[in-house]
Amino acid sequence: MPRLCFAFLLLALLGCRPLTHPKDELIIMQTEAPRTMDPADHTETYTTAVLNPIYESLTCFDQQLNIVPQLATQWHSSPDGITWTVNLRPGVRFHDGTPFNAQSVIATFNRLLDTKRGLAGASNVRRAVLSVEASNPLTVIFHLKAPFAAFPHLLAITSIISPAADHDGALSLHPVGTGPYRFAEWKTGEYVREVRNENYWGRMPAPAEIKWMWTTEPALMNMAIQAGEVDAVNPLPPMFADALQHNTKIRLLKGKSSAVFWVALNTHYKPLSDVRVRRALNYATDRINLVRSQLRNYGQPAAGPLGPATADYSPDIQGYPFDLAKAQSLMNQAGYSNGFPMNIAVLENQANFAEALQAMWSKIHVQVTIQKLESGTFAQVIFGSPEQKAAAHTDSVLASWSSASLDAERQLGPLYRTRSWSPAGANLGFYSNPHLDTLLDSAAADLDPITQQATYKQAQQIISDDAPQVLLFYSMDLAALRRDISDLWLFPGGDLELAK
Amino acid sequence: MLRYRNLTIGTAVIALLILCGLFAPLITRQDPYAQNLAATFQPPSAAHFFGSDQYGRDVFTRILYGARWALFEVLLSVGMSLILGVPLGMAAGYFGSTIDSLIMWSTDILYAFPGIVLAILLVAVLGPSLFNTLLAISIFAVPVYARLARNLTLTLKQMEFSEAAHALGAGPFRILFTHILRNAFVPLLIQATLTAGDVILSASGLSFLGLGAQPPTAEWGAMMSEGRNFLGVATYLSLFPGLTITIAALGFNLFGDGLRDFLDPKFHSGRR
Amino acid sequence: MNSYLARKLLAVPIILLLTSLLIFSAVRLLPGDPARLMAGMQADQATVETVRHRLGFDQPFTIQYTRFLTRALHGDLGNSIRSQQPVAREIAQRLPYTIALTTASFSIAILFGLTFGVLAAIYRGTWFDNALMVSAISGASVANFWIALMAMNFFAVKLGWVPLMGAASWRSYILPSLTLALAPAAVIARMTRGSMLEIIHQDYIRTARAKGLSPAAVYLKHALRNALVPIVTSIGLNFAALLGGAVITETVFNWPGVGRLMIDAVRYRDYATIQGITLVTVFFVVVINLLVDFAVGFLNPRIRFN
Repeated sequence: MPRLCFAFLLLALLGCRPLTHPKDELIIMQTEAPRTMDPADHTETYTTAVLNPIYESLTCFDQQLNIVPQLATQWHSSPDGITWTVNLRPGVRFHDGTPFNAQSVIATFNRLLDTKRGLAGASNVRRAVLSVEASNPLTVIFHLKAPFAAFPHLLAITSIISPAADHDGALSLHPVGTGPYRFAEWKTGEYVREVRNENYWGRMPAPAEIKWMWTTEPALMNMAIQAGEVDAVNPLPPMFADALQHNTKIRLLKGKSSAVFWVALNTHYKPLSDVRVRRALNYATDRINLVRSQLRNYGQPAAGPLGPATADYSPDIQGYPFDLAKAQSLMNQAGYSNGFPMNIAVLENQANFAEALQAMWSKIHVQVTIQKLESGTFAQVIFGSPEQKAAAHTDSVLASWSSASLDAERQLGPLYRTRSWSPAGANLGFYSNPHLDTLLDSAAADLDPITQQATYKQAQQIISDDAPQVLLFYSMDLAALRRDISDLWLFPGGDLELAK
Repeated sequence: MLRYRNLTIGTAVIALLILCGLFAPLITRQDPYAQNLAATFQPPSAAHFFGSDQYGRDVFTRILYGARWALFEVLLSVGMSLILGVPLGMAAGYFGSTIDSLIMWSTDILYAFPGIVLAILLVAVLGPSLFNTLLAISIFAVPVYARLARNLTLTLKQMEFSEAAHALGAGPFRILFTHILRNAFVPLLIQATLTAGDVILSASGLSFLGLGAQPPTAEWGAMMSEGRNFLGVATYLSLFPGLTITIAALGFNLFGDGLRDFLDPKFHSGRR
Repeated sequence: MNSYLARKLLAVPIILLLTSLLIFSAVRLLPGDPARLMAGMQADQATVETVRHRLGFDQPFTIQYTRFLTRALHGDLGNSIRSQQPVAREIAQRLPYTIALTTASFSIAILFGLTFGVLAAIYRGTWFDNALMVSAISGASVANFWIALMAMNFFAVKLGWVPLMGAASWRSYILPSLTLALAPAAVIARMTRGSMLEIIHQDYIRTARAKGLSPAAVYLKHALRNALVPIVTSIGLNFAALLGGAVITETVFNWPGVGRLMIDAVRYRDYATIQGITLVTVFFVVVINLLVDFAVGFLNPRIRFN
């Protein structure tokens, strides 16, 4: 009985209960299970997070988002930007004892380039790299298909695997890398456990073990961190952030995000083929209140297509302020004073944004029907060809795009290039502007950062003016940690990483 | 009065439900679908009796309008189950042997299938909508009505009035629908009211899984399901729809129980 | 008795075969492309096609089905698209948790249901009877996940009396099994009360009372034993429903059972897992119903030959 009273008192004072698991075990809770243990066979942020402690890349991002050496010590490109020479770090071993050298790098890249293997995360590398070779055991030479100034960014997101461990798909179950943690166990449906790599070449982090868990229930995440049953929660749903701010045992992690949320407008759908209508929808969107009500202000209204964390982001892009009168007059000019019907396809857990837009756009008489789709159907519907979308009445898609390599080409190319029309790429609304294509080409190949930035700024303004989408906001990555944890930070896109 | 307490309470709740549904626009002047993004998550107050939700809509208003959806769900789903299940059960009971075995086998297989799984698959194939969800719910309630109808038919067909009708030359369909159905009507009705509460609960369970009523419909299950994501910071968003559903389901259940007791001759003897 | 037994046992493989065909077709009717899902939103079309070939989904239906059937007969239910692990192994790992939860819930439901029902029948007509029945029915009138979340917030977070989620210790069973037990407890209570009331007025009970046997002996030994028949029958019928309810409960409590596995499988179009779990679940339900039939026959010989 006295124990119970004490517990009550403690709760009353602190608002939550003490830790219930060993202090040197770090428990992190995410919203979905990892897809696979093979870093090349997926493109999911939360799987990347789970594999991060295990694998390393040639380069990596530091907390200021600069590219710094990791498994490579230095690198330089030929003057034409097509040949890159990379020097490797000596004395590093994989978790299975295999030495890290040029052979492992070649094996890693060759498996990505091998179209027969069909690894899901290979697109970026295949698009950029032609071949890889070793000039000596600690030097690798990359031959690219075209000049690519942001190649080190691509290196940063390519994990180096142990060639000895890559047989019969073993890597998808049992990862082997060079990182500070070794894989211990994947109990499907429950958790992934990683233990400290005592032979790690770099700085050893504090926790002896990391345990990754997941749930689809936002309320459960909130309760779990309050109850102390988990140490970190990512991503934290914004509505809990304010309350947790005041919890003395918990600290919020906020990250500059690279994710841009938008509604891609199908320019083949008659009303949306008129740029005035697209601009009207933009003017009718109250981004400030959208961010305030749906993100609790953990986000920023978007004006241009690049988020603040991406290189070449420009805060001066002219967007569309909230102006219902202007929106209505544009609709009238285009001949739609009585509006028109429109479908929005959206992932079921992002349907709240669509609901808010539904109400907003009803003010200019656009009757929105929300097509809430679960992940199973979503990807298939949104990547339909022009004919498929016409048949399915996919008039618009609410989604987000975030390039893990943080470079402008990987953020703009797949969304706005003519050759990226779905299903080939993510240009879901079949937008096409040849002038923009040329600008993007020249910017990607431009090795001079100053002119490159100017070109990208031009490109962003064109995209904003043409309004192939209603740009909504840049989401802020949010995570919650127990206050005594210091080793974690948020990489843009929501990937929770160990400080290296 | 104690004896009929359940029936009274049940009737009162159902009556309240109907009144709320009918007179919602008069009780509250607010629009259940009008968003006000500048006034979201307002806790309960004079302006918003049950608070405002994540779009600034008035929860009290949405709950009142939700009564219409609840009644719609009950009527449609129970109706479909009856229309599908009763003829099957009666045919099985009346014609017996092969038809009986066939129908009972199929309903047994259907019954063995976990209902939720069936509902998820059905709705995933047909597309998420309240109608499809109700269709799924009514399908997995069909075995109950089929079995009940069959058992009732078995008993009733041996009774004198059936044999008399048969002797007078009435065909099977006439016997089934005029005579047997008339006598089976009351037990079927009781079963219907007993499953009515379940319908509302099943619909809310499927809303939890993302099926069921689609936004922005002001349906209790959908409200409770969306509201659960704010548990801890705006608990009232799931609390009020949850309480409402509980009261409505309780009302239907008590009504069904009370009705059964009311019509049970042994009940009136009042003996212990 | 033997032909009865034979008929019932023969039903099992037939039902399983039909179910397998049903579920195999049903998942392929599901909209959504598992190959695209596996590859992810950022993969290009060529990659998606290669993934599709890797998973064997580019073959015609009959080939896919026969391959599935032959493997299933050897205990190989295929590999999960998501985790690459054999489905049979995943189910074997997670099924015990679901069964444990279901059993715990059912035990609680029977305990409370029988007690409430018997007491209500004995004190029939009084406020006590009414109170018991109303509270039982209220338990069945709450939305499963709602009461679960409220209970978690109060008992696990605010009070810290029980762990919040998972199945780590015996304490973890408390909240989930209680919430799952609410609905069946009400059904059992109602049925027990009804059954008991039927029997209490029968001749042999009056004879026992007349013989001077105490009420407890009469009610518990004679009445209850006969009242158990419909209750045992209902266990079988309700088992399938209970497994369904477990799906939601497992999601809310992050319980490592097959219910949650099923939901995830549907979400990600993991055909093999959906098929596997459905077959295993139906198998269990059919077996339980079989056992129930035998138990009923044992309890009441008259029913055996009906």
